[in-house]
Amino acid sequence: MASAAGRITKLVTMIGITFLLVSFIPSGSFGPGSFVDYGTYEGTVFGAVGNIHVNISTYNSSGLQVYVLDYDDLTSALENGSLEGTDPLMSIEVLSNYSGIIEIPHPGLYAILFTPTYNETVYWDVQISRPLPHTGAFHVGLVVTALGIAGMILLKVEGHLRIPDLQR
Amino acid sequence: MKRPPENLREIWELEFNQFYSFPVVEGIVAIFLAIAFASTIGIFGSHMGVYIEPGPTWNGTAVIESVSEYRRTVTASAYASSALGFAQILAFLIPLFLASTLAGRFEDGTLQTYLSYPIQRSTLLMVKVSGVIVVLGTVATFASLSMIFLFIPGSKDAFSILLVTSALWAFIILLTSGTTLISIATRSGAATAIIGIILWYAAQMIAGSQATPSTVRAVLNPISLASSYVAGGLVVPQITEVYVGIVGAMVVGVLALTASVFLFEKVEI
Repeated sequence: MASAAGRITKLVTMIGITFLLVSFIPSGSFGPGSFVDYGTYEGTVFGAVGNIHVNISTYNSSGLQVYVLDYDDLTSALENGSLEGTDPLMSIEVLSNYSGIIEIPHPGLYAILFTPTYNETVYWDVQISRPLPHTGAFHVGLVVTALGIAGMILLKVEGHLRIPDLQR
Repeated sequence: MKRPPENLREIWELEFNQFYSFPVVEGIVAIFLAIAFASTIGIFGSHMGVYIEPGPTWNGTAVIESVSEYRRTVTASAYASSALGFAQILAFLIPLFLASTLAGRFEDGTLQTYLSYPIQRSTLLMVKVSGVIVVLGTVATFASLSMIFLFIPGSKDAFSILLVTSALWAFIILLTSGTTLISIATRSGAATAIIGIILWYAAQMIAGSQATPSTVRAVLNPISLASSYVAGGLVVPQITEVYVGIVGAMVVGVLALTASVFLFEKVEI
């Protein structure tokens, strides 16, 4: 029984360490771009395991509004035809270039939407890459490794406590 | 005449402790998780354009449907992509496993020791073969499921998952049964490993060739067909072809296993 528990804690620790290691696997980047008319929103839906790095560019424009929405907010925006009532993860105005990290609260699908600030047609371009480590996998790895190590320590402590019982 | 084993669990435990001790299972779990994670983030390289035109005429139903379909496809593609990655490593791992747990045991006399106990030959063989199938199948299923549940939240297409999982298990059964036959025929660990690896990689190449009849392709690699079906793409196979692949691989696997049991009863140990 004790050896089975020991095996399980080793397995859990290995799973945790694997998640920590795989969170450093590079995933490449992608970069769509298009024109967007005033009063409309255009953008792209993408998956994210952790925080993302975005590089947004716009050419010959007076301003470009950028919104990052989670999946629920995206479907709500698509349903209502408006971003009203949504809570974007990020909302900024870009004049020519923006480069930064967007914190992703949990793994899943997200959308980045663009709309011109003023009455004009604007070209937007976004490069999305995923900085390492992938925070989603890294956090899972930390929690699972901690659980495994805690289990190992508990078993060790329990083993030490049992030795005097055997000697008695 | 040997009586049937009284406690099958004891034979299982003996087999598990001898061949699946630390860090064999843990190492496989780590490898499969890494493959599944790489496949999942690989699928995340895709993206889909969306637009909103605010106004009284706006109807987002079509866009919502395509976004939902995109999410369903991403989940199914990630799961299928993991399974496809596993197919490559399984063609290497299964011959190595059976070379170690079965063929190599002819050489070092372990099988003789095992059979000096009241264990039927067929039971011992089934324990060894099912050990490989259950350990690899469970780890592969756990690894790919954990990725889609951890990293792609939301509803999952149960049919797609079930189809790919069935194809994965059928493939494992086919490879394990075929390699078991090689193990018993050669009775050599090295020969089993080399012949098995070459044979299964050659089979994958044959399965990938368009010149091969579709039924043979489906049976040799049911995972590839099931993955193409659930992930979509330019050429999507018919569902009947996928079923033929899964059932065909299982039938061939069971036939190979029956032949292995028959041969194992006759072979000199």
